Amino acid sequence: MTDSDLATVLTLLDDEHVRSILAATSERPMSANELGEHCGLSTTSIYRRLDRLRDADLVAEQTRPRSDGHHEAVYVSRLNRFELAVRNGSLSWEIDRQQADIADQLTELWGRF
Amino acid sequence: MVVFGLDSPISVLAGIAATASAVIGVYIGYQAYRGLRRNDDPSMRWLSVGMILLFGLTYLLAVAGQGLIAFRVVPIHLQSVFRLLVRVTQVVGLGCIAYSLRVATTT
Repeated sequence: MTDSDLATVLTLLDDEHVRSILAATSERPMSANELGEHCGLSTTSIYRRLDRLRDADLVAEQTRPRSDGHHEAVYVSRLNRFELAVRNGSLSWEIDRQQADIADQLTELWGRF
Repeated sequence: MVVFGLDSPISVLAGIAATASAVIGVYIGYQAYRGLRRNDDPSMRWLSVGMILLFGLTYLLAVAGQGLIAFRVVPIHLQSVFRLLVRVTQVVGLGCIAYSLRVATTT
């Protein structure tokens, strides 16, 4: 949970694949494999981006039970809104982060019974 | 809510409470449906169907039944049929929720 600085966020958002990962995981949690297919990248490239996104606290990791009884890590976007304002000779920026989705929490809770 | 009979404040309150529980139950059912869509978790399908039957459909049946009888569309002796329908829907809904607990993968 680091509050990343502006340069980090801008560098991340400069990458089209990062933007694509954020857009896809804002809709539903996705695994690295699913993201790889979605972006047309190797899972290695996906993981590299996911690590940087996690460090900046722009994606969160959740676990999801698979049909074979194992669990896999899935990723959810935390970026709700990124705002940059230039006013009165100064520049300010703000990140609005998403709280965990109720539906995901319900799914996880129900699985624990 | 004319159908709940506005003859006493108690029945008005009962109607409000019934409506509130239907709304909350259907809301939880909707979140379970979103959980199914987001996480492909089959237990969420049964939970959402169960919640919607147990709170949404039973409420609609009760309101429809009372309305139809109040406006004399349906003879009063069929009231028990509506009661039975509500009870059966409750059992089926609870069955779905119990089943969703069974299929829920323990983490």
